[in-house]
Amino acid sequence: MGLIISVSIFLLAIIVNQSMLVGQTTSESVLDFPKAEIQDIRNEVFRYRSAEVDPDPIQADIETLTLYRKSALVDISNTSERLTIHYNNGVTYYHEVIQI
Amino acid sequence: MTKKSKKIHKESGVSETIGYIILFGIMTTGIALVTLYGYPVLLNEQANANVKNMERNMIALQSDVKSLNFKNVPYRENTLQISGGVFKVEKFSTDTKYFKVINETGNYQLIPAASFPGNEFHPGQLLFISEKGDILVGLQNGAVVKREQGGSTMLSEPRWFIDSSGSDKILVLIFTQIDSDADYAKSGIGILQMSSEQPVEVSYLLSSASPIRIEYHDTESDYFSAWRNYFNTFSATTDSTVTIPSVKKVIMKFYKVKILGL
Repeated sequence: MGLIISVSIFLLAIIVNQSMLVGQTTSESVLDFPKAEIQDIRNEVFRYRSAEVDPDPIQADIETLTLYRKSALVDISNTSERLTIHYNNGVTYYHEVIQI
Repeated sequence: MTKKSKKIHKESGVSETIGYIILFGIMTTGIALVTLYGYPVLLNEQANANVKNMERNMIALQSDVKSLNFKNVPYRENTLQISGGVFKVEKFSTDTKYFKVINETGNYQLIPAASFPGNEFHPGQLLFISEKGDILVGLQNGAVVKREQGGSTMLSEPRWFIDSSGSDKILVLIFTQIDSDADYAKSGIGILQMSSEQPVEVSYLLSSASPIRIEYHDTESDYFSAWRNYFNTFSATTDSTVTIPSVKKVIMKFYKVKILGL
């Protein structure tokens, strides 16, 4: 009985020891994933495309702001038949091509 | 008759004292062996566990620095348990290790001299020095590096990347500098308080695709092989410089993390 308890305490100690780092790195990679940023950029691109405003100044602003605030590269190309959104922050890479 | 009684009571050679001495001898030998071999092993394990613990702390600190840099968080603090060594803040102005970025077409220095004298970027570091000797764990320029017995490895990499999805190759380099008003060093439990300062952003659109050379200088050669191995992920190199061919655009961001207290 004593043996079983001591072995199980030993195993639990190993698990607790490992869980600290695993928990932290997992939660951080979830937090790091720029889902909201990509969604925001997509929404904005679709909105100005459907509103048919001049996209050039807005695209340049989006690219500059994302680089400045999030250190991520954004490249949007908006032609009459194709819309391309490219996002890269060194960890997450997102590339979308929409044929219209 | 006499034979039979001898067989039943055969206690002529038994002595309680000798038995006690034998048992005591075995016990003492056991204790001596454990003290001689077991105890140093235990101490050694303890020292290893301390270093491991500090590696974890450094990776946690790295993600704090990432939050300061990339998520516009103004302030972060982290409680550290430092045992088996000393944790110290080595600010950039006293650091002898530095980076240089050079455009090989025309040999232009790309790190702005206005913010960084001599076009040298001194990162500074958060450093743990183990009392076991010759083990350093550092958070340097956004990377976690470890030096042991003359060699070094990178435990966690900085966020440098090349984007070559378009027609042009874009190189993004993120630099992080450690600054503080006072010299801090601690052993035991400390609360590291960090704040971020306004970053410097530089971007070059080169007239033609050029090779870009990144150099890491380290007079004590503490983290020499760590950076060399990291540079190898960009382009093959045998020393602590790397030349990345045909780069069209270079973007560099210089963040500064200020240590307010420990």
